[in-house]
Amino acid sequence: MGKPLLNVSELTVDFKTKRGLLTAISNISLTIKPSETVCIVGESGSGKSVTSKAIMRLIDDENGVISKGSIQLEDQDLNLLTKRDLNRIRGKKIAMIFQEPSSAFDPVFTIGDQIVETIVKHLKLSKKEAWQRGIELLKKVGLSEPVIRMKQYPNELSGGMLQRAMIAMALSCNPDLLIADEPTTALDVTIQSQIIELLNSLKKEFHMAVLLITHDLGVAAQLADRIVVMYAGTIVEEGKVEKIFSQPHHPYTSGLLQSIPKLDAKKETKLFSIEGTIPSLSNIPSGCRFHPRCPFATEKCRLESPPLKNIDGQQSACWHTSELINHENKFHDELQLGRTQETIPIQQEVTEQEPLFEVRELSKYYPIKHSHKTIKAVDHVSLKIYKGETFGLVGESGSGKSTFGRTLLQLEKPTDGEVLFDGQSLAAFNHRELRQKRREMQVIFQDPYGSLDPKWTIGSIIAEPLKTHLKKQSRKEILAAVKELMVKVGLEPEWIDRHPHEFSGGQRQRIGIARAMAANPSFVLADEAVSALDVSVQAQIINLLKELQQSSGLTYLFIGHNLNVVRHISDRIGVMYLGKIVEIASSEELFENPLHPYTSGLIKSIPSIETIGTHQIDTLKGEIPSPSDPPSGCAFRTRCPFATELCHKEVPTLKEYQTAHFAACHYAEKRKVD
Amino acid sequence: MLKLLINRCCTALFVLFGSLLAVFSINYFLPTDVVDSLSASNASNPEIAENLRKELGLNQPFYTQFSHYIIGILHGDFGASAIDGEPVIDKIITQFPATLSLTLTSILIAMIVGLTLGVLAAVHQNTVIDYVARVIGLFGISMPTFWSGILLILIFSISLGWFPAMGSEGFSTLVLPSITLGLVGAGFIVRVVRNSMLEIISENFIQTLRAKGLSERMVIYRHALRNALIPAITIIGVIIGDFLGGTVVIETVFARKGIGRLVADAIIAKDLPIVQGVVFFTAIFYVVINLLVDISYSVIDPRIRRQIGR
Repeated sequence: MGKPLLNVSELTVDFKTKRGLLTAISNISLTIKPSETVCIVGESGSGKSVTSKAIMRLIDDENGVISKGSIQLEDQDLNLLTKRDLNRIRGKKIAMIFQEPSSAFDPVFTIGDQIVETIVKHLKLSKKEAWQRGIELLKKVGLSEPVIRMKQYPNELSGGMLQRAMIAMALSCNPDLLIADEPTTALDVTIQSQIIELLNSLKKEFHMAVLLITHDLGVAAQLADRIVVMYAGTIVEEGKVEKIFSQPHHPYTSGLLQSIPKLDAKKETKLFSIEGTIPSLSNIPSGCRFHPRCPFATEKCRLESPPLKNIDGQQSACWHTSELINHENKFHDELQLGRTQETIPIQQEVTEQEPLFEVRELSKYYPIKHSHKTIKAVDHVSLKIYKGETFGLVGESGSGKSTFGRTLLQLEKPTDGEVLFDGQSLAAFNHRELRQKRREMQVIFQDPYGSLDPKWTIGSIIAEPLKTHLKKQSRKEILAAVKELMVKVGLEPEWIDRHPHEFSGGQRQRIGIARAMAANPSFVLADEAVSALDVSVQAQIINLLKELQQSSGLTYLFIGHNLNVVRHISDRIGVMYLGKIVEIASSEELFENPLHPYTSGLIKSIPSIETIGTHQIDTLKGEIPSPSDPPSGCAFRTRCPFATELCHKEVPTLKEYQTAHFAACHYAEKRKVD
Repeated sequence: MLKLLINRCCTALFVLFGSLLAVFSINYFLPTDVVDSLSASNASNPEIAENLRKELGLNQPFYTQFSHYIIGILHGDFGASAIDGEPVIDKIITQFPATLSLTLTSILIAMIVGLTLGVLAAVHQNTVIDYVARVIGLFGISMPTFWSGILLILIFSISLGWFPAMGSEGFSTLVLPSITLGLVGAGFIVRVVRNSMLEIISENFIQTLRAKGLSERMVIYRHALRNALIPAITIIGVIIGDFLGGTVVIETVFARKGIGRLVADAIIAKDLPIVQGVVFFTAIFYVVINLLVDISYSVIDPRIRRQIGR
């Protein structure tokens, strides 16, 4: 097996805070062999990022201290190195890439300057040689026109391009270990898939070990040899990727795996979710840290913390692992029977098909300063949203889906076109009438932190729409209504006087939902409403949204970028590309039989836990073009593998190819036959 | 860049015209004029005063007086002092260098002290260094110059005898007044630089730089400081304008030559041509400084450079 490249043993990291020391991770032990890819998965607060930063000793600058344990890189203990010696290792032996490529480069230096700086520091090349090497590296990571890219500033490149440049910089000194901290989280699925492919080929070419940090089990499945699952600052399970995914030994891993909406799951089944939330570091539960959320917890779990035990090369920290494996069937049955079978009664089939929203040729253009051009964010979109249904809207960032949502609700004035709400044109209303109509249309936003006023109590946040829209006057009435809403969305009524900062992301999203529901709407726009949440919490919120829809007969427009999630919640899905709808179909139909090449490209880009290690290579190439200068003819032709002369010249119109299945592609008919 | 220059020149014209109009109006609508201040000392009779007004054109309507003045400026004629008849331009040329050298040395001191303390305070946040830097900054901002100036004279001139307490001949007379004024600027700069450095240091890219193995010195001085300079330069532009105005007090305290004294005396004497001349030159100076500020923005920040290039 050979000697490990990196050996972390019993690592404990504390952070100095105003209230004293806070232990972020405790007793973390892991090894990485040369050329091996190890992936740490876990939700926010699990300590996975702290672990990776501790290895680089980056926590030194964040008031963090390694209070116990060692980090052995080959023969050196990184914990004992002086700053000077450490800087010889950073960037040379261990390189690191980060989550947010757009803020990971210094904005006032060119990409080239920043790559050269690293090379000159570690390889002692001349500036000229380093520049040349930089160009080669950019070519290697698949950036077109590397000579020009070197001279560009970070703000002139897209997120995907910057992440490639970041990888080039990390590889510039041939590191033995690459630490990638959520390298694809901020990117679109299509770009994510390209970056995964790139990392997969580069790690072979450079014979380097990779430590990947991610919350996305799908990404982990595509890249990892071995998986380490972290929860609340400790390792709960560790083993080979195939084993972890096929037979998890820890209830948390098992729960995480089940929380992901599967492609073949029936829509009426409730998504599996782990109850409760991840504990905060200042309030770690006794015994096994997972016990408050574990369906198998016993008295022993509450009192004693389980050590990592090795069973068939797979380690897990659970008192009940061996029983669970022995009773594998029972284990699975219990999880399946106990929870996943729970269904949400499907509503009366939407038979009468009465539209709530009818959108006719809706457009929203933004003028570009000092130019005659415009950005066509939404370009002649026509569609209907029927009463009681969930209409999903997907597309990469820049496709115009959020602008569509805002323009639909007249939060932005449309440039052209018409929106009928319940048969009445919204444009015909004056300010006051529109405000009254707004009561019926509520919005749930993506960012559960930014969308709640931090100075208000949650009681007053939820009460505000009651006062403005429903004209409820008496205090008693309002209080009762607020409490009822809180119960409805799964919040404790006693929390009414607390402030938003006292809640976790998932709970805040529940507050946002309660506020939307307070106005008693008939329509809710959910704009990336679960994107900022952890997998286990995301499932809870989706279930809540579905339940509310059933009980109140709501209609949803669900905008999202996670296709599995959108598929799970939506009845019909529209796919947007550069301001236009390119395909609309029922969600099953869309996934089984996509007619537009863009749709099938998007579907192929989803990293799936069902295909471990076999990364789809024929995903979408390139990036979405700038909406200020869209390609002629079919806007998608620049990335389409089937594009012909016709696509170059003529804009395809949205046509019905099968019952209720629309597509805007010249060759949809042919693809249908295929 | 050319576009920026043309743009700035047009703005400058408006600024100059506006400031002249403002000063002219204030003087015109004041109930007293230069003749009053002259006659107060001469105790002469109203008839002579009336003749004098006629001679100086003070009895003409506002627009006639103002347009005469503007036409004069366009010909390079800034008029003459109403008191002693000496051309305004000569007076300014003799006084301006003293003020300019005071302003420039003060801003130099402000920048050196402000940047150094600001960076040190941010890098050593919540340590003794940080507290000391912040206290110095607080003193700079809150101490009135007439007081701190006198304090410096007491210590360094009267007690220690290191520097002269007054006068405007030679470099040594510049030391105390420019420190007095410089400390005010330093106070503002420390605060701005400290805040923007703290903000920059917490940015993601600083982590990338550390992960690349760059030394902390490189991270702070090559990368972080350059990013933090952008807000600092904005405030330096404002401070220079402030200093030009602030010289009135300083020049009085240290008994220096300079346009501050010149304009203060002229205002008391209602010597309108002098006041207007000084305003005119100060405005030009201010516009030029702000142009330099804008240019240095684009040197430091490529994002602004590309915008201007467009």
